[in-house]
Amino acid sequence: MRVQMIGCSHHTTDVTFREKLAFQPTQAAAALEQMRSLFPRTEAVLLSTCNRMEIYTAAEDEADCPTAEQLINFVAEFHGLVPQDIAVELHNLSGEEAVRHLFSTAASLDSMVVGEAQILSQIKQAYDLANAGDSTGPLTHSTFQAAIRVAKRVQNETSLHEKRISIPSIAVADYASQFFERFDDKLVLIIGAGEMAQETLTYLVDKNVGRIVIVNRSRERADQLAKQTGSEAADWDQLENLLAEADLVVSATASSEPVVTSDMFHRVVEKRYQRPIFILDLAVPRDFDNAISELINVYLYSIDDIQAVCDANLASRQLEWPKAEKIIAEETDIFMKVLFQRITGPWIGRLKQQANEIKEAELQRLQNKLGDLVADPTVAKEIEITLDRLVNKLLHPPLESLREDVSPDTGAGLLDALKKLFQLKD
Amino acid sequence: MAEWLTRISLSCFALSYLIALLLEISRLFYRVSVRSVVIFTMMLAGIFAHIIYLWDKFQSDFSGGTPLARWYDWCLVISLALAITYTIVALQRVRHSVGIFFLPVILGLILFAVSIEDRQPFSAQERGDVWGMTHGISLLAGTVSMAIAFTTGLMYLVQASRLKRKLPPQAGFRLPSLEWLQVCNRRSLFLATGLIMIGLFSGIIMNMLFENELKDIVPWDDMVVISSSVLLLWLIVVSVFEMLYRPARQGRKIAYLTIASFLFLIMVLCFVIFGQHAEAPIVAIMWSGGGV
Repeated sequence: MRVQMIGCSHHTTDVTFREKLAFQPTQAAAALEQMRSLFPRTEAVLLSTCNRMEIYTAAEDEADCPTAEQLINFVAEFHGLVPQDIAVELHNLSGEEAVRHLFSTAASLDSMVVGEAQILSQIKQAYDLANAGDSTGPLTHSTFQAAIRVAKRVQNETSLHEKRISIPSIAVADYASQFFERFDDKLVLIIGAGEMAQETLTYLVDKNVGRIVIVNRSRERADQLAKQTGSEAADWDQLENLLAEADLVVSATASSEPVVTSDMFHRVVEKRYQRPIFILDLAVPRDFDNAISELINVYLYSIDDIQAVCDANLASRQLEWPKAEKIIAEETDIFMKVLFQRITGPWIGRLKQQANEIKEAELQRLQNKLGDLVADPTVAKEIEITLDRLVNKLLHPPLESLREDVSPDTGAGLLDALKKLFQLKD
Repeated sequence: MAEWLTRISLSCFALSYLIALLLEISRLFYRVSVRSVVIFTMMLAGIFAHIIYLWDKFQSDFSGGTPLARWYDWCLVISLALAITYTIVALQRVRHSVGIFFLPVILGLILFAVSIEDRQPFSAQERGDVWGMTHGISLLAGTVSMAIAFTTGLMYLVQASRLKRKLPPQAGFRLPSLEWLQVCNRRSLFLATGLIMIGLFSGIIMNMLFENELKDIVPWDDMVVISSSVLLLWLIVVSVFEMLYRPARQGRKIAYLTIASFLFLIMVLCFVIFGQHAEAPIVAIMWSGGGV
């Protein structure tokens, strides 16, 4: 049996590299289909998100499972890359390590924003896609179903998911929701099109915002981001008018001077008729003149205001981290035991059957040889019991060792040894 | 009615609401997973006891000819309406601390009821009169609506102040969003204005009818009539101001005006209850619904 994972994540690779290896859903389906034709007896699930690309493969027989090198070649070929260029950046895990990694990922311990719930739905989607393409099998079913269950256990038994630690997620989920009851009738203005604006947008899109408009000095970048997120882009000179209309403003430009001055905002306030406005100034240095925060019905938050919450939540999560890790260690251990017992079960059965056949043959031979001496049923029964006891006592120590040692390395070694010693065939 | 139900007293539901309030306050200090369940249980038990108590009272007063004919009874009816409103809001917003604002008003009304328990019941002169019923029920519903507007307005101001001071979200003290509070505050104010308007006009019509029939009437220059009219005028001005003046439609202005309106209403009710006019049978009928 072999379960393995090959891939990369935000921990060790930059976004440019991950973009090269990313699989869009249609590409993922095609890749799984190709893998099935290349490695027909291998089960596979492909997980591709903004922060990671991971291919999980599994096979009952280790020989059927592709090697790490074969998988690297496959990924490189699919994306038209040179295998040597990507090999150094990809990491490879197998057996218990791969299972533990999947459990940690599903429980969001491996995420950029620890505790975010999105990764679990992405794992479910990846598993569903593999199911739809008939790329899964008994091993991937049990592994991924267990991962989903473990993630839910971590969610229920720890408060790891309750407190957010990224500035944009806190800004949207913890602050914006204190202002707005619903977002589907709101206009959100995004000033800037950098990484922070992009990340905030992902949370806003999840909130089902009615209308999102992006303004950026470079219209091209605004258009690009608008296309990616299904929002609108507007010219920079529309900024003042859009500020007058917006309910929520997220500003994250790289400007060294305030983009919105106090004078400009006074003009905006007049047009707004004191309608409340929530402004998230996530830029450093700040995009909004600080004097604006003094105005009536203007709620201006800078990155420092949110950072304090971020730090407090992070500290709170760190207290929960060991609890989550303990759950994952416990669940990985149970899962590996169950998995290994499932694999060893048929071989143990076969060994017992083989021993029983030998016993039956020897008993028959003895009965033929002794003739009338074993005519008494009590004596015949006693002989049969003795032989049973002998077989059981001989098989008990090796089988017990096999059951107890569930480590994939030594356990699989013992199973192989058992097969060889007793000449067990498939 | 089962005998044990007749033993339900005011202290039963007052105690339930008090425990719910203490539990709501405890949110500020520590987390307990079953707290919300206990609060709901307390509220449901309190509401049940409250209804049974009022029903029992209604039945015994009915045999005496004057059901719910005291300010004591009507304060308890208003507090019951607020308790039900709070429970519904809290069920929809389990994590929000709305109880800290609602429950003191509910308990305050119960305490107030106890303090005026000895006052004379209203006259049953015009019991069953349509105008009297309309008058009393509208004013009762208007008072409940105004109390809700007051509570949501107060919550709006607290929430707006917290957000303006950029206080971090507090697990133990969460309030509904500004948008929700503003909508509730606005709707309750409009509803209260409409109901109080119906109440006052039905009172005027009733008084005119009594005048024709040469019965006891409330003098037109009575303090209650004047203050009620001023209250209605004030509410109309506030509502029109809110509708026509756009800056007032958003933000804290309307919350301040609602709170002022509620205090105005309390003042008018004090004139009615504690003034000498309360002794006049028609006045009592006007504000009680004619002994419905």
